[in-house]
Amino acid sequence: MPDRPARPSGQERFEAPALTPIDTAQRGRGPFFWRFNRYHRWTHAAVIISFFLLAYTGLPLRFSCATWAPALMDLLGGVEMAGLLHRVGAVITFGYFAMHIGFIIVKVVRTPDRRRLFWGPDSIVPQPHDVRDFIEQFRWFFRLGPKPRFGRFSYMEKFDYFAVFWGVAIIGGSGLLLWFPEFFAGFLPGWVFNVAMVVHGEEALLATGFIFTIHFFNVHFRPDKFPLDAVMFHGRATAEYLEEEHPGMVHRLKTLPGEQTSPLAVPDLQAPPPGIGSSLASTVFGFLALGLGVLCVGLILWGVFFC
Amino acid sequence: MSPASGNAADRSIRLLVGAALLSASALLATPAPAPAQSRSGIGCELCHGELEFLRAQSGSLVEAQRLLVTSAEVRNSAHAAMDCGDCHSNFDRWPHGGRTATRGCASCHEPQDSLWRHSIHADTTNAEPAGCASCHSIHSVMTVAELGEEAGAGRANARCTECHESARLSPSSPHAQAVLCAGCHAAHDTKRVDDPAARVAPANQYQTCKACHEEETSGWPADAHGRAVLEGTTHTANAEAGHPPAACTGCHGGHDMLYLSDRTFNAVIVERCSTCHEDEAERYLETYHGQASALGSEIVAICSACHGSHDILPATSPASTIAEANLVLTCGACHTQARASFVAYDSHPDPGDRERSGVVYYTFFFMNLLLVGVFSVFGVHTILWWTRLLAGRKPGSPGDGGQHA
Repeated sequence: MPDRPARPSGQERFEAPALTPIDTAQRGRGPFFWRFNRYHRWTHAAVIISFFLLAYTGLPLRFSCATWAPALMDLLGGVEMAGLLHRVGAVITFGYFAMHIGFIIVKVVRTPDRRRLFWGPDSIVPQPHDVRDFIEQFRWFFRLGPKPRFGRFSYMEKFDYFAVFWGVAIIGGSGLLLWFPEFFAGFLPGWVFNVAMVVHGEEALLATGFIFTIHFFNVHFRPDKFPLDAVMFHGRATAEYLEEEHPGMVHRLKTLPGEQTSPLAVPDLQAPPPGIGSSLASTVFGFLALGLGVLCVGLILWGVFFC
Repeated sequence: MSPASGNAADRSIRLLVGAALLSASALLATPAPAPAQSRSGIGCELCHGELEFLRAQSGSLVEAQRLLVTSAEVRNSAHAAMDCGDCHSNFDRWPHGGRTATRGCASCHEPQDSLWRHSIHADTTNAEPAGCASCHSIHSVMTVAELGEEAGAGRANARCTECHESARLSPSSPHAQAVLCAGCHAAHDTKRVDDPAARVAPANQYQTCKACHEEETSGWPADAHGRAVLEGTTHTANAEAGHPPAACTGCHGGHDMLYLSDRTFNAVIVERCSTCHEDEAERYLETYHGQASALGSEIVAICSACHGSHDILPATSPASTIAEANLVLTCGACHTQARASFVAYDSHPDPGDRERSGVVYYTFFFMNLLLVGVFSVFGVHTILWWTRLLAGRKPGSPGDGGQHA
C-alpha cells in the first residue's frame, strides 16, 4: 500500500521555502504526511475527467436556448458526437463507482477492526460529532467560540463524498433510463422517462453548480487557501497544513507514531515532499480543472439569465 | 445578371425615355409633310448602331448610350421577328421630323396589360410604379422559353430584386434556381402579400404551390391546417395573436425557405411551429428531442416526425399519427422496440402542471427544493467562512482565524 518508503518520524524536517508555494498543501512548516494514496488520487482524477466530459456535453442540451450552446456543440463535433462523449463519461463514472464499491468490500474483508471503517475519527461516515462541528463552525463564524477540530474528514468533505455517491446513483440511474428507454419500457411505465429527464437535468445543475462554486470556494479559493490545494493530486501535505485543516488527524499521528490511523487508506506516515514533476503536474491539472469549472459556472449563469 | 445585359437594359430604358421625349417634341413642332412609313430596321441601325455617331450628334456619351440599339439585341429578344417600324412609326429619316409615334406594349399584349393595371406595380400611389420595361426591358425582352431556363429566370429575378432587395433568395433556397419570382407572386397581376387576392395570400397558397408541388399538396385539404385555411376557419392555435392558420409558407417559409436536407431545417421548422403552438413547442424544447434538434441534430424527432407534415390531424382523429392507437407505429419509426408503455412517455411534459402529471410535478418540486436548499445552506456557509477569514487577517482583530479549541 505505501507507495514510498516511510521516513522515521521527526528525524528529517522539511523547511518551508522563502516563497509561499502556490499549492496550499505545500505551505507551512513541518514534515509532509501522506493524506491520499494512489487509489484515492486516481479515483479523484477519474471523477474530474468524467465530470467535465459529462458537464460539457450535457449542459449545452440543458441550455440549448443559450447562444453559446450551438457553438459549443459544433466545437465538440455535433450533437451525436457530444452524445457519444457523454456516454464515454458515463462509462468512466460507472467504472470508478463500481471500483469504489469493490474497494470498500475489499477493505471491509481485509480489515480486522471493521468498526473503525464505519465509526470513529477516521471514518468518513457522518456521525454526531459532525453535527456538533457544523454548529461549532457557525459559532466560530460569529466569533462565539473557537474553531472546531476536524478529524481526518471534515463534515464538508463527508458531504462532498456522499454527494458524489448520491449524484452518481441519481444521475447515473436516470441517465441509464434515458440511454436505453426501449429496454426499460419493457417493465417500467412511460412517465418514468419524464421523471428521469427532470431528475437528470436538475441533479446535473446541482452537481455542477455545487462542485464548481461551493467545493471550489471551500477547498481552493478560500482566502487562506487561494488559489489551489493540490493535496488530492500529489497526495501529501505539510504538518502545518494538516494542523490547520485536520487537527484531529494530526493529534492521532502524534499519539500513535508509526501506526496506521486509517485502515481505509494511507498509512499515515511522513512522506517525502512532492517532487518537481509531481508538483508541476498537480498544479497544471488543478488549474486546468479550476479554469474549466469556473468557465462552466459562467456558461450556466449565462444560460439561466440570458435565455 | 451579367454586366453586359445590365448595360443593355439600362440603354433600353434610356432609349424609351429618349423616344418619348422625341415624340413629345415632334408633336409640339410644326407638322412635316406626309411622313414616309419606316420599314426594315436595317436603316435604323445605320445611326442607332453607331455609338460614335450618336455621341457626335447628341454631344453626350450618356445620351448616345441611351439611343444605342443594335439589331443583335432585338434579334435575340422575344421580338426577333419584328422590325423597328412595327413599334416605332413615322420615324422619318434623320433628323426625325414628323408625327413619330411608338406603340405601347398593350397594343399587342392586351391581356397582360389589363392584369397589370390591377396590380401593385400599376398603383400610381406607389412611390416607384413599375411598367412593362421595368421588368422586361425594351429591346432585349426575353422569350417565355428563356424565362423557363435557369439563366433566364436568374436574369428576370434580378430585375425584381433591383427594387425588392430584401426579397433576394439566398443560394440555399430551393427556389433559388430556375423559379421565377413571378412563379409565386404572379407575373402581371402582382399583389401586395397582405392583399387577400394575392397568389401568396395564405388562402391562395395551396393553388399557387400546387402548380409545381402536386404530390405534396394532394392530401393537404384534409389536413388540420389545410381544412382551416381552405374552409376559412377562424380558429387558430393562437387566435389571440391574430395569426392566420398556417398555409404552405407558414411552415416552409417564403423567401427564407430551406431544403429538407438543410442543416438548420429541423431547428427552423420547430421555430416556425412555435410561432403559433407556443406552449407545446416550449415544452417540447425541454425534452431531449427538442434540445438536440435545437442544437442541430438531424436525427431526433422534430414536430413533423410525430405529427406529420401535410397530413396533420388532431389526436382525436383515428387517422392521426398521434392517435393513441397509432403511437406505437409513429414512435416505432425511430424507436424500433417501441411498445405501449414506451409511448406513454409525455413528449410535451410540463413539470409545472400538477394536473398533467403529479409525479413529474412533485419530482420537479423536490429537485428544486433540494437545489435551493443545498445552495442556500452552503452558500451562506461559504460566505460566512470567507467573511470570518478575511476579518481574521486584519491585524489587531480579535479572531485570528486559526486558533483551535
